[in-house]
Amino acid sequence: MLAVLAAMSVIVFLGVFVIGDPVELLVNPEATQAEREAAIAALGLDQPVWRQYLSFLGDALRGDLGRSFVFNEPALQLVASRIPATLELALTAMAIALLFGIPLGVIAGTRPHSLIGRTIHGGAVLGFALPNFWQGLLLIMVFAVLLGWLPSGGRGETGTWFGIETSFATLDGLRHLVLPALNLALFKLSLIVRLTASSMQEALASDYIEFARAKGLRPRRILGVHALKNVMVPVVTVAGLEFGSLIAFAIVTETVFSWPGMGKLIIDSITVLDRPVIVAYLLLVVLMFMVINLIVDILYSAIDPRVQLAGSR
Amino acid sequence: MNVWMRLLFATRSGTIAVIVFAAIALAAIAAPWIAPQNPYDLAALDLRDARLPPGSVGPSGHVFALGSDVLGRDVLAAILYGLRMSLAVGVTSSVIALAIGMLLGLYAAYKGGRIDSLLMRLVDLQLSFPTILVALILLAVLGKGLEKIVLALVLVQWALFARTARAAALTEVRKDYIDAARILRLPEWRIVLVHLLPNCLPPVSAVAAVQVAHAISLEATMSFLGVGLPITEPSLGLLIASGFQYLLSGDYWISVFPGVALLLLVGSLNVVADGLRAAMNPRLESARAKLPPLLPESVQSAPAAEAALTVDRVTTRFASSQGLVNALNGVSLTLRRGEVLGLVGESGSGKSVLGRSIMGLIAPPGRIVGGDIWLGTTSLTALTEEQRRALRGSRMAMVLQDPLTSLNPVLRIETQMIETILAHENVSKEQARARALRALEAVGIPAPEERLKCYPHQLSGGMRQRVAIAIALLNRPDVLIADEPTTALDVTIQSQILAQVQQLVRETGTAMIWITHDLGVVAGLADRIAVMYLGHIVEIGPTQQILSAPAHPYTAGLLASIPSRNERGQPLQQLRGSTPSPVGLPPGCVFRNRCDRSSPRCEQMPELLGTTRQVRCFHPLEEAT
Repeated sequence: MLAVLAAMSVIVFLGVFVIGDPVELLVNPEATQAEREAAIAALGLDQPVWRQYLSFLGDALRGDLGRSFVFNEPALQLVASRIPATLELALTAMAIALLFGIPLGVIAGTRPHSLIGRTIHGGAVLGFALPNFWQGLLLIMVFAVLLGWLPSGGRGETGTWFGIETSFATLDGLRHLVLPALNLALFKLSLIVRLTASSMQEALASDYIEFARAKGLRPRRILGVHALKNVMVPVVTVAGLEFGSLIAFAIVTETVFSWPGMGKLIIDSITVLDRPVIVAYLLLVVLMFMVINLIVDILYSAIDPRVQLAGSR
Repeated sequence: MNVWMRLLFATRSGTIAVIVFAAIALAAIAAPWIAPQNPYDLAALDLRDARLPPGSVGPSGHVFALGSDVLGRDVLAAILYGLRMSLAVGVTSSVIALAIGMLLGLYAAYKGGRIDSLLMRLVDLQLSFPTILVALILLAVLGKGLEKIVLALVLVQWALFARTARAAALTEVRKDYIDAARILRLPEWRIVLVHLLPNCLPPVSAVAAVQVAHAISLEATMSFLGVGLPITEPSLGLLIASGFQYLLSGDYWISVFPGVALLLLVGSLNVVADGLRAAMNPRLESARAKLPPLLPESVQSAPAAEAALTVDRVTTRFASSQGLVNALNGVSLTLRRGEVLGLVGESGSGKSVLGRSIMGLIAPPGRIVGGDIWLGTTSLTALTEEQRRALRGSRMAMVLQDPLTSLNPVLRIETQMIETILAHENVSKEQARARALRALEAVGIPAPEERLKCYPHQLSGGMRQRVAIAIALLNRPDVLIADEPTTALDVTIQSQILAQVQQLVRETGTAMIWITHDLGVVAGLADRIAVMYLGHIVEIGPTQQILSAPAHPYTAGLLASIPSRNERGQPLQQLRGSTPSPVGLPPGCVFRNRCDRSSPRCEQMPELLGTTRQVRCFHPLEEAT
């Protein structure tokens, strides 16, 4: 795990290093040569690449990923300050995806050839196929422009709970949250529907369901306990793993809805080549992914008795 | 037309998707000739035409069918050019990624060992990150540009192709023709390219269809975010982004029409890919068939009062894409209280279908189309499903063949036992648990208190089958149907379990049907034996009589092919030919094409004649009694 993080730091650093020349963007074009060189030295850009990497690594281990060229703030702190907005969006989206995805998937998986089953399946194929940004545009078009029910972007008013700024605290915040969360959820919703439906079909065709029927159990128990408990194994695993990708997809949603999270920050930073922020974002996201994978492993062994975590025997 | 194509066109959505995709692809390819202007020739644009609504005529005299964008560009023309670019980028990147990924995947599967594990770790690592993030990192590094986005999309996609190709190749590599090629010392590249590649192409190409769609939407997304194509290139993503700010003021057409075009392109490709995937998975296909029609009702006969189970002319059919499968053709038998009947037949003879028909477990596309089943004096076909459920697991029970799959893997043994009692009786959980404990003891499970807390995977196969038997006998059923419960077990375990079950059904007075293909197993167990062939009972009678003097030529053939009954050094007897398909059987005796004794008379179906010993044959080896 540490090896991956170290490898990522090299790749990200080298990769980011070769992008354009931030001096061009940051220094006043009318500046004199001396001023330019002073700016380059101040940013540490006059050193050879390996030197820059080593000093970057040394600083990184102390939690310092450099200062943003644009905001002149510590990059890590800047990215970290945007995490709550993104997490709030991702959590709401995941909740929507699971809350609607599992029941719809169960219906589609139990009655795959009925009209409702085929409609759900078709909807999921489309939801899966449509680019995220286009779904977002459609949501704005319908709910903000045509119907005027909900705001088209921004985070709105936030309140503070336990020292964390959150949109959950105010009605205005919630109204601003609905469309972006829905947009971010649609893709995962389709995924959960498809996964639940196919796992359900597989479970219903299994021997243990036939045996459960032979035992004379009521249909509700067969479906709700015997089949659903088995369906939940892949669903929880995938939902956990996909939580990381929600943070990645938030890049698109945040850009469409001007949501002030990490995703919008990275896109803005790429456009102005704010290297420290890009590096800080990527390393932080990789770290988040690893933590998520670890949590999923633990959760997985909790719901599937066949899985034992290595070392816990 | 090949099989895929046929299946693709079999559904209405598949046909529509293929037509939509073909139309879009054609229009995109022909864009330079059919577009009303060249929207990326800046000299041809007139700024006075900017942001005109659909259907208007601009000051320059140009007709804008779908309106114009902020540069005075014809949206329809821009869409056509954009689609052309989308297709070009999507197809090019997917094809290159497919070539690279497939070669690496095949080579890894062929070589195995270190190369394989190294490559696969790389693939797993990359695939653990969402493609959108990988694409964004790559583009942040590479910068904007056409070749750069193609390169980024190739780098994003190769890993999935490598994994798919490797998985397909791993099953191929184990086959004999690859071994043969290795022994012939063909050069490695030849084995991989000429022998391995063509056989791994089908699964990879289904992935490719999805990947093209994915690449197209990724390009549009990246361009929309401003990190993909530069604004001098045609792109649906850029077009949509350029109209985004006007969307809120109501000038919808700049964003919405390109969006619809993108939707049609990506959507139709996905439906096509979905159809391809379904076509390659034949398991999904048969379930569409309609249920078999019911037979006209015939006169019902009341069951004998002392019978535990009466099966009366039961006919069960399954709908399939090949036609109706005649799984059971008017099967009749009675089971006395406490009697053990051995039900013998080859696979496909209908013996398991009979067991499931009795239990009421036949589900669509299967159906009991005629006849009746009586449990004691209760007609099961006259009951509602809820009434039948109440009898299942209490008055009649079943044990399945494979102990490894018949218990639910995620529920504890105690849960699976207690629920069986609670589904039928209003007792406390503690009482039910105490009964479950005694039932485990009765089937010879040591330390039952601990086993109750176990999950199935913590028990051995033999132990799991004992649990399943204990569950089946929990509510002291009148009838137990055992569907080859010992076939999957070791011989020593098999005989232990046989002895135990025999003792238990004797104690509880349960009548039992023991389904098997092994005459040896039922010899010491059953009071009577019924022999099934192609959905008919061909012979039924007391065990000793059937084993020592079979009357039906098929029974005789079955007995003669048991190795232990033959003299050493004598050639083993075998039945000639193979069982015909149960779909569309010709009338007459079902065994006649394999029978040495058949005559023109056998073109008619013989009746099952006799009382204690019944035979369905015009030319039996022994007379019925």
